Amino acid sequence: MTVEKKMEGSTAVLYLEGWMDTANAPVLAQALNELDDGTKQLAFDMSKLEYTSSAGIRQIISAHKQMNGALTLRNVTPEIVSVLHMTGLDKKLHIEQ
Amino acid sequence: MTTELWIADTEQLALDSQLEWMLALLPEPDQAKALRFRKREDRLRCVAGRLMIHALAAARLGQADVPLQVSAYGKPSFAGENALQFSLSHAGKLVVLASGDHPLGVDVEENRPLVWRELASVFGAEEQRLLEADEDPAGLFYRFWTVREAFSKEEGRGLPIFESRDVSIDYGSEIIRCQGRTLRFQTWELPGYMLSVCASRLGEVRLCCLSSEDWNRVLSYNEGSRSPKREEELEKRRKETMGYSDEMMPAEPALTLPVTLDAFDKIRMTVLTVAGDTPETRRALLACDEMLANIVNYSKAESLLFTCERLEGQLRVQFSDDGVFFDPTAYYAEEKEFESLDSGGMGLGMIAQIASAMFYERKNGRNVNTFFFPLQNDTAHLTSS
Repeated sequence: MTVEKKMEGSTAVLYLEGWMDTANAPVLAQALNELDDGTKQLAFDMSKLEYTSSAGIRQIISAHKQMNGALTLRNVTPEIVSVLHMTGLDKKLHIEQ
Repeated sequence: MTTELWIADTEQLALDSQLEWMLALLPEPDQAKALRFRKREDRLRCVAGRLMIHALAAARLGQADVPLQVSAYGKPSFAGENALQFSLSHAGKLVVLASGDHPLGVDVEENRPLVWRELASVFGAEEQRLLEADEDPAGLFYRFWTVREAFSKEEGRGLPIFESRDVSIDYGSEIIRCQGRTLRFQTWELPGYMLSVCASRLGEVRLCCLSSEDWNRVLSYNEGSRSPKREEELEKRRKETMGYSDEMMPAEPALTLPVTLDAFDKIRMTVLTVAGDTPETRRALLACDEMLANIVNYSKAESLLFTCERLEGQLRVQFSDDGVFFDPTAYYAEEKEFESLDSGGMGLGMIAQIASAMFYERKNGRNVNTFFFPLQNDTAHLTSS
């Protein structure tokens, strides 16, 4: 998978692309580590994310904790929503419609 | 010839809440026996054990209500002319029913800290010497104890009275010699428990930790009134599950995979080739990904085999690893607070939601996990019918 970062004003947007499987999920962990300490708002654009496993979900939870909740998921595909739903996260995360 | 061990974890199966209802399923003599236990936990184990015996009779002999007879020493067996033998044991939260074609004995004990020296006198000189020499003799103590108890139960005796008789036990080769008889035994160290089974012939031993689905099947066997259709359905399910390892061995040769997360690429290619890239396949892949992660991270396995095939509109996937005993079907997903959502178990919860059926077997030192995944969306089928 690839992660590309773009700034939108004060919001850091990470564009996730490809398969966030268990082997690949550390790529997102790395990107989260590299965020500036001053980042106040974080968004994941998931339009090109084809797949996530629980390892990816754990990274999303970890980002949510790191940002004290200031995390938004954008352009989430139905496939990914169904995975979030399985873990009950769809109710707990901020998902932009 | 096979020896089969059904293991029911009363806690994981949450049987306590169903005790009254389960009691009502039993024939009256069994109910009376169960009601003699004053402690609820003892009563529960008794009821669960009886239900398992009746389910065994139904599955193997075709009727649940085969009468039981009791030997002079109190060992129960099925009355009448049949070769089916069983032995029952329970400890802590576990109830274990062993069955096979020869008289057999099973014993399970909870690994508790104990003053083993006070009890060690029942063992022979060699066992006592090994216990003295061992740094952590508790495990060894329970191994010796369960083997001897299983042996005495095979013989139909009540208590493990050993030292007075000419018994020679070879723990390395798992052979007991006693007064001209030669018996085989096997021991398993389950989390928190030691389990041994003993018989003159064991054959292939199948260890089956009952999932909640298996338990429902045990209950179904005990339900009195059955319509022929339901009977048919039960028979079909019985074939699908209990006998599945003989009848449904994968036709495809198994893929040998490295025990690393990178193995997922190979799994992904195989599954997509077999089933095509559809939302259903992706969900199946997700379960495979989670299973692989569990094996890689926790099993300490060195060998991993994977098979995948289409079977009657379903995808059948099998993982076989030589890691530590772990039965994912015994895992129960529970709703967690957000803060602890990432604390583990999430992957197993996802597998349970995706798979239409999952079976676990411990076989020849390997964990064999078989999953069935739906391949197409059933909505079209439902609306047309």
